[in-house]
Amino acid sequence: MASGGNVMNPFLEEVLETTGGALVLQCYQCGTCSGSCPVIDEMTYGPRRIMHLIQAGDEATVLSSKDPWRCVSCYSCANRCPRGIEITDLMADLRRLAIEKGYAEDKEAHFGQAFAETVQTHGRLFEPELLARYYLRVLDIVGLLKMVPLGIRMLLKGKLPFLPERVEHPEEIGKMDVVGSTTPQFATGVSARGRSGAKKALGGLVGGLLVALAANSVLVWSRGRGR
Amino acid sequence: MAEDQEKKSEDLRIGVYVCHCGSNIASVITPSEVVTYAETLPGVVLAKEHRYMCSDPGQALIQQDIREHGLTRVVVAACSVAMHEPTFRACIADAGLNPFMFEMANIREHGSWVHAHEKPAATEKAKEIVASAVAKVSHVKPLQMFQVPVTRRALVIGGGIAGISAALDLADMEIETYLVEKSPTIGGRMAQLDKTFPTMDCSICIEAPKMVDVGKNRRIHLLTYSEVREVNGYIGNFHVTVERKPRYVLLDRCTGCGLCEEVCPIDVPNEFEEGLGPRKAIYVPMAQAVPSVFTIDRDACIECYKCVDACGALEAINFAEKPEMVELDIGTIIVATGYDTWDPTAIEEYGFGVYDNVTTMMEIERLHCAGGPTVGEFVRPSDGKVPSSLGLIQCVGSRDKRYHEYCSGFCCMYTIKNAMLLKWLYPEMDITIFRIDIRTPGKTYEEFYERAREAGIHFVQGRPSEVREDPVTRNLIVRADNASLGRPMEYEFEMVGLATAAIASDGSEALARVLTVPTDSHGFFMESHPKLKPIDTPTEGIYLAGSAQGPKDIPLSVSQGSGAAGRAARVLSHDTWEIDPIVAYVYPERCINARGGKCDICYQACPYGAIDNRPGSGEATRIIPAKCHGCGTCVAECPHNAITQHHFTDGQILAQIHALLADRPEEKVLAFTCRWCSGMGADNAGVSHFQYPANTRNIMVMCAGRVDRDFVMEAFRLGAGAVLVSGCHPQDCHYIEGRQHADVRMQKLAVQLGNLGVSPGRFRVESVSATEGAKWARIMREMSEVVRSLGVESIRAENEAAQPQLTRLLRRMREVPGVSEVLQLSEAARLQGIETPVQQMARAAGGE
Amino acid sequence: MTASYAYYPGCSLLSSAKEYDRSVRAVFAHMGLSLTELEDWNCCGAVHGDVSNPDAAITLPARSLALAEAQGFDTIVAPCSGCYRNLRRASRRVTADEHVRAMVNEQLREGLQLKGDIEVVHPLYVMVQHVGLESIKALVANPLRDLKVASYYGCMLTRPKDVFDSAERPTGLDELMQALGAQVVDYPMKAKCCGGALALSHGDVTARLSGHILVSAKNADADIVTLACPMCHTALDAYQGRAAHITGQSLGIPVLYFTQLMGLAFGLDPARLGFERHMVSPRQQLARLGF
Repeated sequence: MASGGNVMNPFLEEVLETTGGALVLQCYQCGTCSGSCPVIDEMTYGPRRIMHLIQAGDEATVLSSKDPWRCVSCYSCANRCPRGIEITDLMADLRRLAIEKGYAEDKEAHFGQAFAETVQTHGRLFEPELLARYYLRVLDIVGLLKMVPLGIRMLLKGKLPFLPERVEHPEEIGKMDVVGSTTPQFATGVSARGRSGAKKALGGLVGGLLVALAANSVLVWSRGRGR
Repeated sequence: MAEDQEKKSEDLRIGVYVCHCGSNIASVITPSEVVTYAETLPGVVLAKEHRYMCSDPGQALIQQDIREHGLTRVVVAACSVAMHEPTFRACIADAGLNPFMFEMANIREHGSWVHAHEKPAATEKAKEIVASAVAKVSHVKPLQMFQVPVTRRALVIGGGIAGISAALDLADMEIETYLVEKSPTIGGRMAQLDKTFPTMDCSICIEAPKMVDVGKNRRIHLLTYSEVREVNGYIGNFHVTVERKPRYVLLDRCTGCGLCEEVCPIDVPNEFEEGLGPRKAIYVPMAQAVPSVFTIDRDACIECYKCVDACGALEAINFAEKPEMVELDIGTIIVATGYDTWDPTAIEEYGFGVYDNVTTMMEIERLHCAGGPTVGEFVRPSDGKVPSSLGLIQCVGSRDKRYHEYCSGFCCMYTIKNAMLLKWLYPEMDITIFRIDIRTPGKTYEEFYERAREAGIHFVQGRPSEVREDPVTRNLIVRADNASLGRPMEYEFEMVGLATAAIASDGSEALARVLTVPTDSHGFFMESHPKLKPIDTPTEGIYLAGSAQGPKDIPLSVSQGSGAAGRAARVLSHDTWEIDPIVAYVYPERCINARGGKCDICYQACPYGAIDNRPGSGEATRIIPAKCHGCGTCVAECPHNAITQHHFTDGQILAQIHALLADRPEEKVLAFTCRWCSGMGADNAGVSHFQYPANTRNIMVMCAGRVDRDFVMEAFRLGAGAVLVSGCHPQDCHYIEGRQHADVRMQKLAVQLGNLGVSPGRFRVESVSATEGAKWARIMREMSEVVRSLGVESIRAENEAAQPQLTRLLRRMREVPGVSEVLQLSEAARLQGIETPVQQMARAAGGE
Repeated sequence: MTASYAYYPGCSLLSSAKEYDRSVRAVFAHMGLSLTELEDWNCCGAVHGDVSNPDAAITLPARSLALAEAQGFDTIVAPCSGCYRNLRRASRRVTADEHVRAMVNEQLREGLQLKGDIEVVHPLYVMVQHVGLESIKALVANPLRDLKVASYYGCMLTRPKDVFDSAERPTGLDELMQALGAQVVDYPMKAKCCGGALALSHGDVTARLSGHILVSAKNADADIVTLACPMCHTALDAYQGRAAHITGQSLGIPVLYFTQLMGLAFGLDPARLGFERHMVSPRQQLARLGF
């Protein structure tokens, strides 16, 4: 696409190297993407303006924006883009660049990381561990408390497992390096002391949840036996 | 050294001229170095540089040197053959030389423009290109143009406004003109339009008089409901077969009274009304049809014969009518087959074909036309109500990489026109146009756009992402990201119109094949040169008018129609026409049929029937020059090396191969290209400034079919790093089948070379069209990379291993007349340790 | 149809979506379709695989594809739309690009190699295209008469655009429901996103998007919503309470997997189909059908 490196616009060059961003210079700002986006109201700029910011090389604005983290990967934009730009894949590439370059603050970044760590460990997903890892990363007590009622109902329905499923040799998955080399930093204003306190509180909560989970599993198991 | 060679041959007095092309060449290549180098080449008596060789002073310089220094041959190192070969041939002819004693060295499109970042290497390449041109021009022979008779008749294919304009102008120049139209009436797209922008004239009111003129003109022979099936021959002498499809109504009896139509019980959607209104199975498409004669649609007809009764004593209906083939002798042909509108069903998010009230702009045209199915009452399809609001969407399928990448050009204007018209008819109607950009490049077009804004038509910058229907009201909700407001908005309309892409008309591809005229990557007929020959096709004697070449509005179509008439008449105003003498020639003594053989390989290879072949008769095969198009396929196919092609002899081409591979051959990529698609594709890479490495060299022949296996093997024997044979895409071959013959031949050779140990990627066969400059550059990059990654040493080792076998296979080539002297010159130089000037310089550079 | 399918349940079908897993197995068995769970399959990476390490987004699903090849299958069935997209994308990339194939094979354990000629299908399109609607109609014992169903396709079942269905106006699920005797309702949100990907980090977004879909289905007079993805199911079922809160509308629409409805129509024992596991109980609607 671009012939030779464009030293004046390193961020654009970097995006052009990604699988999703290879055609980003093709964007002519028609807005089909932003009109198609189901989460446009959650975003600051929306995909059309993100394309423009990338073309302009505004790395800080693009990578520190919450927009890539609100993308729900629905492919509505990419499916309709008249320029053939793989916008959905590009949003994933922007999420990765945001982590690599230390811009990522969004909770979704931490969720992705927690997910990757869980899969890396077992080869399959284990929801309770994912939840524990996630909430310990973001220290989001309000968010966790919001989840409690639903979590309990899901436990009661047996929708959360007790024991992790694993592949035979998890090191096979470890070799694939799902987690990647960098990890998002949580850059909120919470003081170190506050953080450690919150961490303890959360640890307790998560622990409590796991105990509840175990109890529930026993319950489900015994109910199954009783039948 | 130059003086020694000057004495060597009195005949061989070559002048080399290096053009700066302003800074186009001189900013990358150092012309003075090329001049100094050229002076050392054998046969060169002088070399000079000039800012613009094509300018009057530049040409005068050549002519002066021919007179003062007795030059017998000339090389100009400048731009492409397509650009200026005719200029300089005319220039030296004016000074008394045979025009074929000239060679163009393209150091711009193949040099400065594609190696902008490799200045020293580009200069080195320019020197070798000049050496190659000097080598070829040293061996060329004077040729005389053929004079062919001209049949003073023209054929116009397509009866829209472009074809009508062309036909009327030709007739005014007293030229007998055949106008062939596929549908039952002439008129084309323009007849379907209501008003025309920007003047708002009634379209059919201004076109109908011209249609009538065509119908009445005694020099215009109208063949409606007819299609061109076969075209043979060449400029001035085309033989054309036209199929007249049966109308089942006799042209000379039908008065167009319409009594038959009244009794016909069958209703089918009328194509002319975009299917919005009905027609009968016996029909004229519209009231103004020319000829005003009915046609029976036999697919719809139930053969009740009520029409026959209604026609009565006129007896104009004949169900037994059969297709009829009409044979015509024609001097020149104009293609004016227009465009079609794209079916937008594929863009599912707009709901065309799902929601009744989503329409195309052509449907809107018919709906507000007084002559249309609603007699000008603009109503929406779902309930026949006049919509109070209308949303019009631009660029539907145009500027869209998934469908049609180009801008259809006139949609902005006709959308604005439809909006204006509806605003006049219904001042209360709320009209919004969704646009990416608005393009108004014609005269007074921008003012028209301004009037539309003043009339209260809304323009929203944003391509709608989807259209939804309210199932109750049947209204449409258009969602678009409004760039001005920076947020997506939803707009409700009672009706929506889509400005769909204008696409190459149905059947263009088949017609292109019949005419052996190329189409571009979008399916439109391709012009010979986008700027300087926009009306001509690469096939002499065939011209283009109107949207057949690419979407055009009415004024442009009319202009090009008249322009094409002028180009066609330019030929038809002569009794004879000159054609290139670069045809094939059989050495009678080498043809095995002369010794009783029964060979017909050349005959099978010739797509033009230009070979008079009598196997077993004891007579040598003969080429009929007027029928030969000069592709050279038979030359390369002949297993006995008994055929040659004037101006592209084996000797001349081998001289070029030797010149280009004299120095560091292992590092080079040598390409053989045809004159048309691939040659022009390589030029296109230059015009587009697509960069690729400077270790690439080109030899141009007329067709890939001319590339002999021996050329490729000789290149490898000489040590080439990689060899490419590139032609048109097979279906686009300018010589019908030359490219395919090359393919068969080269695929076999590829296997053979592989067996000899030549690494894959060092020999490639490719198709590059004239618009695929990017592809050309990519192939060049890839092949250079193959050469680079293998490295000189391993390439040399491969070549050395293959050499004994190659030498054996190439033994027969030496028997070809003219070849041995070329090889002797080159090999003598090698054996005697005489370095070519390139080698001297390379050594000097290496020693530093 | 005697094809033998490799079954890739994916992580969700072992936990939150066990009812989907059970009903898929039950329906396939009832139809005589051989469905063998792939041994030692691993997580496909969901939508998070791309983010940390883009290569892992290909290698993770590619490992399962390689296992399927090694275990002698040529077609793999993935009932989760996310897994389906990931497996299909990996299969495409590996087939199209030898560099990707080399990268993948480099990462796989010794002895495991991916050739890349494995077909990935979603069970919905096994039904609609491999088996065919006529054969399915023939198996219907209890037509789902009078049940008004809103088919919900979500995103990754049909996008990125593929050969099986339209990306904008998909019809496969509707056609299947009609074959089961149900009445399908048309509503504009059937292929819009539920926001399931953000359920934990930005649950309000998920609830809002799901809410729009459920309101739209309810306005179209649907009794139930049917779908073909566990992520979508979590968003529309588990988050329905939050969705009702956010949209300010009472919803109460049961959300069932299409295989559960197939099971009902085929006359399988409802107890085998896991209806008790939904957050929004379908009891009322099932009772109306006579279950």
